[in-house]
Amino acid sequence: MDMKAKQKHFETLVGSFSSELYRFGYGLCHNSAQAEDLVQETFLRAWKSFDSLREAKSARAWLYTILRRENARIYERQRPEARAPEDLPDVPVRGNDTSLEAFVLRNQLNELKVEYREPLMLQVIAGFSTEEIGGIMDISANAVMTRLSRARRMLRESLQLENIQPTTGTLR
Amino acid sequence: MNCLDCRRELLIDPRNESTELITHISHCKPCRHERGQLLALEDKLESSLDYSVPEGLEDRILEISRDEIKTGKTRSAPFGGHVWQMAAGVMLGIGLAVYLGLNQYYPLNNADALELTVLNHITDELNHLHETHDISQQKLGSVMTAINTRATDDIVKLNYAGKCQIRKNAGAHLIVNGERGPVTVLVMPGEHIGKNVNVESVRFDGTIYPTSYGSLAVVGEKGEHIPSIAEKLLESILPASS
Repeated sequence: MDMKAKQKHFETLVGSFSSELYRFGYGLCHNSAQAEDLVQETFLRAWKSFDSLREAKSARAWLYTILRRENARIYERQRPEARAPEDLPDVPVRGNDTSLEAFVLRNQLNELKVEYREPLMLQVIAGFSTEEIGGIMDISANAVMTRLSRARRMLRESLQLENIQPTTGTLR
Repeated sequence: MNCLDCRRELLIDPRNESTELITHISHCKPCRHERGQLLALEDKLESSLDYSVPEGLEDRILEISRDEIKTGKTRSAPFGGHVWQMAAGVMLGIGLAVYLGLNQYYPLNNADALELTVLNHITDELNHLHETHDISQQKLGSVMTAINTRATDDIVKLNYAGKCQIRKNAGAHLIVNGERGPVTVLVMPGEHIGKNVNVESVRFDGTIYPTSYGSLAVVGEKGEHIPSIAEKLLESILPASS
Protein backbone atom coordinates (compact mmCIF):
# COMPACT_ATOMS: atom_id res chain seq x y z
CA MET A 1 0.00 0.00 0.00
CA ASP A 2 1.49 3.39 -0.95
CA MET A 3 1.75 6.20 1.59
CA LYS A 4 -1.25 8.11 0.27
CA ALA A 5 -3.52 5.05 0.28
CA LYS A 6 -2.26 4.09 3.73
CA GLN A 7 -2.98 7.56 5.07
CA LYS A 8 -6.44 7.54 3.53
CA HIS A 9 -7.22 4.15 5.05
CA PHE A 10 -5.95 5.39 8.41
CA GLU A 11 -8.13 8.51 8.25
CA THR A 12 -11.14 6.35 7.44
CA LEU A 13 -10.46 4.32 10.58
CA VAL A 14 -10.22 7.49 12.68
CA GLY A 15 -13.52 8.70 11.21
CA SER A 16 -15.25 5.38 11.73
CA PHE A 17 -14.07 4.36 15.18
CA SER A 18 -12.85 7.33 17.23
CA SER A 19 -16.26 7.95 18.86
CA GLU A 20 -16.89 4.37 19.95
CA LEU A 21 -13.29 4.01 21.12
CA TYR A 22 -13.72 7.17 23.17
CA ARG A 23 -16.88 5.74 24.77
CA PHE A 24 -15.08 2.51 25.62
CA GLY A 25 -12.08 4.44 26.95
CA TYR A 26 -14.34 6.70 28.99
CA GLY A 27 -16.10 3.64 30.41
CA LEU A 28 -12.72 2.34 31.54
CA CYS A 29 -11.17 5.46 33.06
CA HIS A 30 -14.11 7.86 33.61
CA ASN A 31 -12.04 10.86 32.78
CA SER A 32 -12.73 12.79 29.62
CA ALA A 33 -9.17 14.06 29.07
CA GLN A 34 -7.65 10.67 29.78
CA ALA A 35 -10.16 8.93 27.48
CA GLU A 36 -9.24 11.33 24.67
CA ASP A 37 -5.54 10.69 25.30
CA LEU A 38 -6.22 6.97 25.18
CA VAL A 39 -7.91 7.25 21.79
CA GLN A 40 -5.13 9.51 20.50
CA GLU A 41 -2.42 7.13 21.69
CA THR A 42 -4.31 4.18 20.27
CA PHE A 43 -4.35 5.72 16.80
CA LEU A 44 -0.71 6.78 16.99
CA ARG A 45 0.30 3.25 17.93
CA ALA A 46 -1.96 1.88 15.23
CA TRP A 47 -0.29 4.12 12.66
CA LYS A 48 3.16 2.93 13.70
CA SER A 49 2.14 -0.70 13.20
CA PHE A 50 -0.20 -0.05 10.30
CA ASP A 51 1.75 -2.28 7.93
CA SER A 52 1.10 -5.30 10.15
CA LEU A 53 -2.64 -4.84 9.68
CA ARG A 54 -3.42 -7.31 6.95
CA GLU A 55 -7.20 -7.42 6.95
CA ALA A 56 -9.30 -4.28 7.11
CA LYS A 57 -12.11 -6.15 8.84
CA SER A 58 -9.92 -6.99 11.82
CA ALA A 59 -8.93 -3.33 12.31
CA ARG A 60 -11.73 -2.59 14.75
CA ALA A 61 -10.89 -5.39 17.20
CA TRP A 62 -7.21 -4.51 16.81
CA LEU A 63 -7.88 -0.88 17.83
CA TYR A 64 -9.81 -2.00 20.92
CA THR A 65 -6.95 -4.33 21.86
CA ILE A 66 -4.47 -1.45 21.62
CA LEU A 67 -6.70 0.87 23.66
CA ARG A 68 -7.24 -1.51 26.55
CA ARG A 69 -3.52 -2.32 26.70
CA GLU A 70 -2.74 1.38 26.73
CA ASN A 71 -5.20 1.83 29.58
CA ALA A 72 -3.65 -1.12 31.45
CA ARG A 73 -0.21 0.47 31.04
CA ILE A 74 -1.44 3.72 32.59
CA TYR A 75 -3.18 1.76 35.33
CA GLU A 76 -0.14 -0.39 36.00
CA ARG A 77 1.99 2.65 36.79
CA GLN A 78 -0.13 3.19 39.88
CA ARG A 79 0.81 0.92 42.78
CA PRO A 80 -1.98 -0.98 44.63
CA GLU A 81 -1.66 1.02 47.82
CA ALA A 82 -2.22 4.17 45.78
CA ARG A 83 -5.34 2.87 44.12
CA ALA A 84 -7.50 -0.23 44.48
CA PRO A 85 -8.46 -1.79 41.14
CA GLU A 86 -12.15 -1.05 41.51
CA ASP A 87 -11.54 2.62 42.34
CA LEU A 88 -12.20 5.17 39.63
CA PRO A 89 -11.45 8.89 39.51
CA ASP A 90 -14.16 10.89 41.20
CA VAL A 91 -15.41 12.57 38.04
CA PRO A 92 -19.10 12.85 37.18
CA VAL A 93 -20.09 10.54 34.35
CA ARG A 94 -21.30 12.43 31.30
CA GLY A 95 -23.86 10.67 29.17
CA ASN A 96 -26.60 11.42 26.70
CA ASP A 97 -29.17 9.60 28.83
CA THR A 98 -29.87 11.85 31.81
CA SER A 99 -32.61 9.74 33.42
CA LEU A 100 -32.41 8.55 37.02
CA GLU A 101 -32.34 4.93 35.81
CA ALA A 102 -29.29 5.63 33.64
CA PHE A 103 -27.58 7.44 36.51
CA VAL A 104 -28.11 4.51 38.88
CA LEU A 105 -27.15 1.98 36.22
CA ARG A 106 -23.87 3.80 35.48
CA ASN A 107 -23.06 3.86 39.17
CA GLN A 108 -23.79 0.16 39.50
CA LEU A 109 -21.75 -0.54 36.40
CA ASN A 110 -18.82 1.31 37.94
CA GLU A 111 -19.11 -0.87 41.02
CA LEU A 112 -18.43 -3.96 38.91
CA LYS A 113 -14.87 -5.22 38.85
CA VAL A 114 -13.13 -4.32 35.62
CA GLU A 115 -12.94 -7.99 34.60
CA TYR A 116 -16.75 -7.98 34.37
CA ARG A 117 -17.24 -4.39 33.20
CA GLU A 118 -14.85 -4.69 30.28
CA PRO A 119 -16.44 -7.61 28.38
CA LEU A 120 -19.87 -6.14 28.99
CA MET A 121 -18.81 -2.79 27.49
CA LEU A 122 -17.16 -4.55 24.56
CA GLN A 123 -20.42 -6.33 23.87
CA VAL A 124 -22.80 -3.43 24.49
CA ILE A 125 -20.77 -0.51 23.06
CA ALA A 126 -19.01 -2.33 20.25
CA GLY A 127 -21.26 -5.32 19.62
CA PHE A 128 -18.38 -7.79 19.59
CA SER A 129 -19.10 -11.54 19.74
CA THR A 130 -17.84 -13.60 22.68
CA GLU A 131 -15.04 -14.98 20.47
CA GLU A 132 -13.98 -11.48 19.44
CA ILE A 133 -14.04 -10.27 23.05
CA GLY A 134 -11.94 -13.30 24.00
CA GLY A 135 -9.42 -12.33 21.32
CA ILE A 136 -9.27 -8.72 22.53
CA MET A 137 -8.93 -9.70 26.21
CA ASP A 138 -6.69 -12.73 25.60
CA ILE A 139 -9.09 -15.06 27.42
CA SER A 140 -11.23 -17.96 26.21
CA ALA A 141 -14.74 -17.48 24.80
CA ASN A 142 -16.03 -19.59 27.70
CA ALA A 143 -14.46 -17.21 30.21
CA VAL A 144 -16.09 -14.29 28.35
CA MET A 145 -19.49 -15.97 28.57
CA THR A 146 -19.05 -16.55 32.30
CA ARG A 147 -18.08 -12.93 32.88
CA LEU A 148 -20.92 -11.54 30.78
CA SER A 149 -23.41 -13.69 32.57
CA ARG A 150 -22.12 -12.74 36.01
CA ALA A 151 -21.95 -9.05 35.08
CA ARG A 152 -25.62 -8.96 34.02
CA ARG A 153 -26.69 -10.95 37.06
CA MET A 154 -24.82 -8.59 39.40
CA LEU A 155 -26.21 -5.51 37.65
CA ARG A 156 -29.74 -6.80 37.84
CA GLU A 157 -29.42 -7.70 41.49
CA SER A 158 -28.00 -4.32 42.40
CA LEU A 159 -30.78 -2.54 40.47
CA GLN A 160 -33.35 -4.60 42.32
CA LEU A 161 -31.75 -3.49 45.57
CA GLU A 162 -32.13 0.11 44.37
CA ASN A 163 -35.73 -0.75 43.50
CA ILE A 164 -35.24 0.15 39.86
CA GLN A 165 -36.63 -1.96 37.06
CA PRO A 166 -36.15 -0.87 33.44
CA THR A 167 -39.50 -1.23 31.74
CA THR A 168 -39.04 -1.41 27.99
CA GLY A 169 -37.20 -4.05 26.04
CA THR A 170 -36.63 -4.14 22.30
CA LEU A 171 -34.73 -6.21 19.82
CA ARG A 172 -32.26 -4.56 17.48
CA MET B 1 -33.26 -26.36 25.19
CA ASN B 2 -34.53 -26.30 28.79
CA CYS B 3 -35.31 -23.25 30.93
CA LEU B 4 -31.91 -23.29 32.64
CA ASP B 5 -30.02 -23.26 29.32
CA CYS B 6 -32.33 -20.57 28.00
CA ARG B 7 -31.71 -18.26 30.97
CA ARG B 8 -27.99 -18.91 30.81
CA GLU B 9 -27.97 -17.93 27.12
CA LEU B 10 -30.02 -14.83 27.82
CA LEU B 11 -27.61 -13.62 30.48
CA ILE B 12 -24.74 -14.00 28.03
CA ASP B 13 -26.58 -12.11 25.30
CA PRO B 14 -30.21 -11.02 25.74
CA ARG B 15 -30.39 -10.26 22.02
CA ASN B 16 -29.55 -13.82 21.10
CA GLU B 17 -32.02 -14.93 18.42
CA SER B 18 -30.91 -18.51 17.89
CA THR B 19 -33.63 -20.82 16.59
CA GLU B 20 -33.38 -22.99 19.69
CA LEU B 21 -33.88 -20.06 22.03
CA ILE B 22 -36.74 -18.55 20.03
CA THR B 23 -38.48 -21.93 19.86
CA HIS B 24 -38.14 -22.35 23.62
CA ILE B 25 -39.49 -18.92 24.55
CA SER B 26 -42.38 -19.25 22.12
CA HIS B 27 -43.89 -21.90 24.40
CA CYS B 28 -42.40 -20.94 27.79
CA LYS B 29 -44.06 -17.94 29.41
CA PRO B 30 -41.62 -17.52 32.37
CA CYS B 31 -38.60 -17.51 30.01
CA ARG B 32 -40.39 -15.05 27.71
CA HIS B 33 -40.90 -12.79 30.72
CA GLU B 34 -37.25 -13.21 31.73
CA ARG B 35 -36.17 -12.25 28.23
CA GLY B 36 -38.38 -9.15 28.30
CA GLN B 37 -36.75 -8.03 31.55
CA LEU B 38 -33.24 -8.63 30.29
CA LEU B 39 -33.97 -6.79 27.03
CA ALA B 40 -35.23 -3.84 29.06
CA LEU B 41 -32.01 -3.87 31.06
CA GLU B 42 -30.03 -4.11 27.82
CA ASP B 43 -31.78 -1.08 26.31
CA LYS B 44 -31.05 0.95 29.42
CA LEU B 45 -27.47 -0.26 29.50
CA GLU B 46 -26.95 0.83 25.90
CA SER B 47 -28.32 4.29 26.47
CA SER B 48 -26.38 4.63 29.74
CA LEU B 49 -23.12 3.78 27.97
CA ASP B 50 -23.80 6.28 25.22
CA TYR B 51 -21.33 8.73 26.76
CA SER B 52 -21.13 12.16 25.14
CA VAL B 53 -18.18 12.39 22.77
CA PRO B 54 -16.29 15.72 22.96
CA GLU B 55 -16.80 17.97 19.98
CA GLY B 56 -13.93 17.97 17.49
CA LEU B 57 -12.39 14.72 18.79
CA GLU B 58 -11.89 13.27 15.31
CA ASP B 59 -10.31 16.48 13.98
CA ARG B 60 -7.88 16.68 16.90
CA ILE B 61 -6.85 13.06 16.44
CA LEU B 62 -6.32 13.57 12.72
CA GLU B 63 -4.37 16.76 13.30
CA ILE B 64 -1.98 15.16 15.79
CA SER B 65 -1.70 12.01 13.66
CA ARG B 66 -0.87 14.08 10.56
CA ASP B 67 1.89 15.80 12.53
CA GLU B 68 3.24 12.39 13.53
CA ILE B 69 3.04 11.10 9.98
CA LYS B 70 4.73 14.25 8.72
CA THR B 71 7.44 13.98 11.38
CA GLY B 72 8.03 10.40 10.32
CA LYS B 73 8.61 11.57 6.76
CA THR B 74 10.91 14.40 7.81
CA ARG B 75 13.05 11.99 9.82
CA SER B 76 13.71 9.93 6.74
CA ALA B 77 14.33 12.91 4.46
CA PRO B 78 18.10 13.53 5.09
CA PHE B 79 18.96 10.15 3.59
CA GLY B 80 18.27 8.93 0.12
CA GLY B 81 15.88 6.06 -0.48
CA HIS B 82 18.67 3.69 -1.52
CA VAL B 83 20.53 4.14 1.75
CA TRP B 84 17.35 3.22 3.58
CA GLN B 85 16.82 0.21 1.36
CA MET B 86 20.34 -1.01 2.11
CA ALA B 87 19.92 -0.36 5.82
CA ALA B 88 16.58 -2.13 5.78
CA GLY B 89 18.20 -5.10 4.05
CA VAL B 90 20.97 -5.29 6.66
CA MET B 91 18.46 -4.94 9.51
CA LEU B 92 16.26 -7.61 7.97
CA GLY B 93 19.24 -9.94 7.78
CA ILE B 94 20.22 -9.28 11.39
CA GLY B 95 16.60 -9.63 12.50
CA LEU B 96 16.23 -12.93 10.67
CA ALA B 97 19.46 -14.27 12.15
CA VAL B 98 18.44 -13.20 15.66
CA TYR B 99 14.98 -14.68 15.15
CA LEU B 100 16.34 -18.00 13.90
CA GLY B 101 18.87 -18.09 16.73
CA LEU B 102 16.33 -17.21 19.39
CA ASN B 103 13.77 -19.56 17.99
CA GLN B 104 15.90 -22.50 19.09
CA TYR B 105 15.34 -21.36 22.64
CA TYR B 106 11.99 -19.59 22.44
CA PRO B 107 9.36 -21.31 20.35
CA LEU B 108 7.70 -18.00 19.45
CA ASN B 109 4.01 -18.51 18.82
CA ASN B 110 1.78 -16.42 16.62
CA ALA B 111 0.79 -14.18 19.52
CA ASP B 112 2.95 -11.89 21.64
CA ALA B 113 6.14 -13.17 23.18
CA LEU B 114 5.51 -15.09 26.39
CA GLU B 115 6.81 -12.35 28.68
CA LEU B 116 4.33 -9.87 27.20
CA THR B 117 1.54 -12.38 27.60
CA VAL B 118 2.50 -12.80 31.26
CA LEU B 119 2.52 -9.04 31.87
CA ASN B 120 -0.77 -8.55 30.03
CA HIS B 121 -2.32 -11.39 32.00
CA ILE B 122 -1.26 -9.82 35.30
CA THR B 123 -2.49 -6.35 34.36
CA ASP B 124 -5.76 -7.83 33.09
CA GLU B 125 -6.35 -9.50 36.43
CA LEU B 126 -4.89 -6.98 38.88
CA ASN B 127 -7.76 -7.66 41.28
CA HIS B 128 -6.17 -11.00 42.24
CA LEU B 129 -3.27 -9.13 43.83
CA HIS B 130 -5.64 -8.09 46.56
CA GLU B 131 -6.98 -11.58 47.32
CA THR B 132 -6.20 -12.71 50.85
CA HIS B 133 -7.73 -16.19 51.08
CA ASP B 134 -5.83 -18.94 52.79
CA ILE B 135 -6.06 -21.52 50.01
CA SER B 136 -6.61 -25.08 51.23
CA GLN B 137 -4.63 -28.03 49.89
CA GLN B 138 -7.89 -29.43 48.54
CA LYS B 139 -8.69 -26.27 46.54
CA LEU B 140 -5.12 -26.07 45.26
CA GLY B 141 -5.19 -29.75 44.39
CA SER B 142 -8.27 -29.32 42.23
CA VAL B 143 -6.71 -26.38 40.34
CA MET B 144 -3.43 -28.19 39.77
CA THR B 145 -5.03 -31.50 38.76
CA ALA B 146 -7.07 -29.68 36.12
CA ILE B 147 -3.86 -28.62 34.39
CA ASN B 148 -2.12 -31.96 34.83
CA THR B 149 0.26 -30.81 37.56
CA ARG B 150 0.43 -31.25 41.34
CA ALA B 151 1.67 -29.29 44.35
CA THR B 152 3.62 -30.79 47.24
CA ASP B 153 2.16 -30.45 50.75
CA ASP B 154 4.90 -28.05 51.87
CA ILE B 155 4.11 -25.39 49.24
CA VAL B 156 4.25 -21.79 50.54
CA LYS B 157 1.03 -20.13 51.77
CA LEU B 158 -1.20 -19.05 48.89
CA ASN B 159 -3.59 -16.10 48.91
CA TYR B 160 -5.28 -17.10 45.69
CA ALA B 161 -5.39 -20.09 43.33
CA GLY B 162 -7.48 -20.29 40.19
CA LYS B 163 -7.47 -21.78 36.72
CA CYS B 164 -6.77 -19.40 33.87
CA GLN B 165 -6.10 -19.33 30.16
CA ILE B 166 -2.62 -18.46 28.92
CA ARG B 167 -2.57 -18.15 25.16
CA LYS B 168 -3.97 -21.46 23.91
CA ASN B 169 -3.35 -23.48 27.07
CA ALA B 170 -5.00 -23.83 30.45
CA GLY B 171 -2.79 -22.66 33.30
CA ALA B 172 -2.97 -21.76 36.99
CA HIS B 173 -2.88 -18.28 38.52
CA LEU B 174 -1.52 -18.25 42.08
CA ILE B 175 -0.75 -15.39 44.46
CA VAL B 176 1.83 -15.70 47.25
CA ASN B 177 3.20 -13.14 49.70
CA GLY B 178 6.45 -11.40 48.90
CA GLU B 179 8.51 -8.91 50.87
CA ARG B 180 7.29 -6.00 48.76
CA GLY B 181 3.70 -7.10 48.23
CA PRO B 182 1.78 -9.85 46.46
CA VAL B 183 3.68 -12.01 44.00
CA THR B 184 1.96 -13.56 40.98
CA VAL B 185 2.81 -17.11 39.99
CA LEU B 186 1.61 -18.41 36.63
CA VAL B 187 1.90 -22.15 36.07
CA MET B 188 2.00 -22.57 32.29
CA PRO B 189 1.93 -26.16 31.02
CA GLY B 190 2.78 -26.41 27.33
CA GLU B 191 4.64 -23.06 27.24
CA HIS B 192 8.13 -24.47 26.80
CA ILE B 193 11.16 -22.17 26.89
CA GLY B 194 14.84 -23.01 26.70
CA LYS B 195 16.16 -20.78 29.47
CA ASN B 196 15.07 -18.19 32.04
CA VAL B 197 13.25 -15.20 30.55
CA ASN B 198 13.12 -11.89 32.40
CA VAL B 199 9.82 -10.06 32.78
CA GLU B 200 10.01 -6.35 33.40
CA SER B 201 7.63 -3.42 33.34
CA VAL B 202 7.30 -0.06 35.05
CA ARG B 203 5.80 -1.72 38.10
CA PHE B 204 6.74 -5.39 38.00
CA ASP B 205 9.87 -7.52 37.93
CA GLY B 206 10.01 -11.25 37.48
CA THR B 207 11.32 -14.30 35.71
CA ILE B 208 9.84 -17.12 33.67
CA TYR B 209 11.54 -20.44 34.47
CA PRO B 210 11.58 -23.48 32.18
CA THR B 211 10.09 -26.61 33.75
CA SER B 212 9.48 -30.17 32.56
CA TYR B 213 5.75 -29.44 31.98
CA GLY B 214 6.25 -26.01 30.35
CA SER B 215 7.18 -22.94 32.35
CA LEU B 216 6.55 -21.07 35.60
CA ALA B 217 6.38 -17.28 35.83
CA VAL B 218 7.09 -15.55 39.15
CA VAL B 219 6.43 -11.81 39.06
CA GLY B 220 6.42 -9.34 41.96
CA GLU B 221 6.61 -5.64 42.63
CA LYS B 222 9.84 -3.84 41.63
CA GLY B 223 12.71 -4.82 43.92
CA GLU B 224 11.16 -8.13 45.03
CA HIS B 225 13.74 -10.90 45.44
CA ILE B 226 12.26 -13.33 42.92
CA PRO B 227 14.87 -16.18 42.98
CA SER B 228 14.25 -17.05 46.64
CA ILE B 229 10.48 -17.28 46.08
CA ALA B 230 10.86 -19.11 42.78
CA GLU B 231 13.25 -21.70 44.22
CA LYS B 232 10.63 -22.99 46.67
CA LEU B 233 7.87 -22.91 44.07
CA LEU B 234 9.90 -24.78 41.46
CA GLU B 235 10.40 -27.54 44.02
CA SER B 236 6.74 -27.57 45.03
CA ILE B 237 4.99 -27.52 41.65
CA LEU B 238 5.53 -30.67 39.64
CA PRO B 239 4.01 -32.60 36.74
CA ALA B 240 1.07 -34.77 37.86
CA SER B 241 2.90 -37.92 36.80
CA SER B 242 6.03 -37.32 38.93
